Amino acid sequence: MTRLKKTDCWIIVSAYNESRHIQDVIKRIREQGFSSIIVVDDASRDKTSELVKNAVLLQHIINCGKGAAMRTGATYALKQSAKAVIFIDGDGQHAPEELPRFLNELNSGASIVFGARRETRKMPIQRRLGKILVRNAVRILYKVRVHDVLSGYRALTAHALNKVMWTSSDYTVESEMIANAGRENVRYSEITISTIYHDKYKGVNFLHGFIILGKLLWWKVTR
Amino acid sequence: MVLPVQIGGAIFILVMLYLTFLFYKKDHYDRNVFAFWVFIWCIAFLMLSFPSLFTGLTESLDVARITDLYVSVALMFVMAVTFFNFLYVKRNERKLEAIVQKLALDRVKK
Repeated sequence: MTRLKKTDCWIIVSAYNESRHIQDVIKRIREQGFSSIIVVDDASRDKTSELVKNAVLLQHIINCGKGAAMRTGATYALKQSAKAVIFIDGDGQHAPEELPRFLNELNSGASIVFGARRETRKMPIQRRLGKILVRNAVRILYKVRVHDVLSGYRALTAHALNKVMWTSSDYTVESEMIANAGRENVRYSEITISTIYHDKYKGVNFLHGFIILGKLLWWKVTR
Repeated sequence: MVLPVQIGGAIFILVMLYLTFLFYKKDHYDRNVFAFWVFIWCIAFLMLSFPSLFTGLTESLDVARITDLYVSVALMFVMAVTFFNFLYVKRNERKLEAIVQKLALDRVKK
């Protein structure tokens, strides 16, 4: 397998109302040497799309959800013959400084690299409980041992991306990707990433955990 | 003797008939769909207002009262409609996403 370079990688940033963070995220990605950046604006109601510079901008005309935004970005990247993609959130909760570590891990042989946030006391309790529930469900149902199922910070080779392409449009996308990876026996690894929370009410909570659990069971039964 | 529930039910059905007619006139559906729903509302009206007409049916189905039959049939109907609504919503959701994605990819800004 030829070694992946930074120029082979497309960074896909999904963004919804991230005018506060998007410029900084793009700048920090470029500082790491990655210049192929896609920002998918999921019909933000603020000035997110106007602030996107030095990156390819794909705009949804209506809000479709994170999964749909990631799929749009992935489709574009594959059309550009990307050899690998790295998904990163546009809200600044994923440190772009860790991008090279994802690339190194892909070059070590993994087809998917999952970023796992360190569990600290800063992590809101409802998120911690949701994580535990979903993590165990994924391990039991799909035999995938991933510490942080819900983190959207992950890298995939183009081949793996085609294998795990998802149908979810919402926050269940991360779980579906892992479920598909388990079913397709895709080689994966996990790296620890920083835990950054700007907004403790944003993101997936304990109740969402039950919905994700239901979907994990549904996929197991129907696919 | 006319029961209050029969009066309430009759008013409800008359309102639904009116709405059915109104949306037909606004071209929300064609004549066949309009005729189907008018038929449904008429049957519902007959069952509610003249329950004795259906005595034979309740006896053959071993149902104690026409109201019980009414509720059972209505519940099954609602469940079927809910199921088909779910199917159509999911289908439309997928079509919408496909359009949104296509537009985003066609209008890429570099």
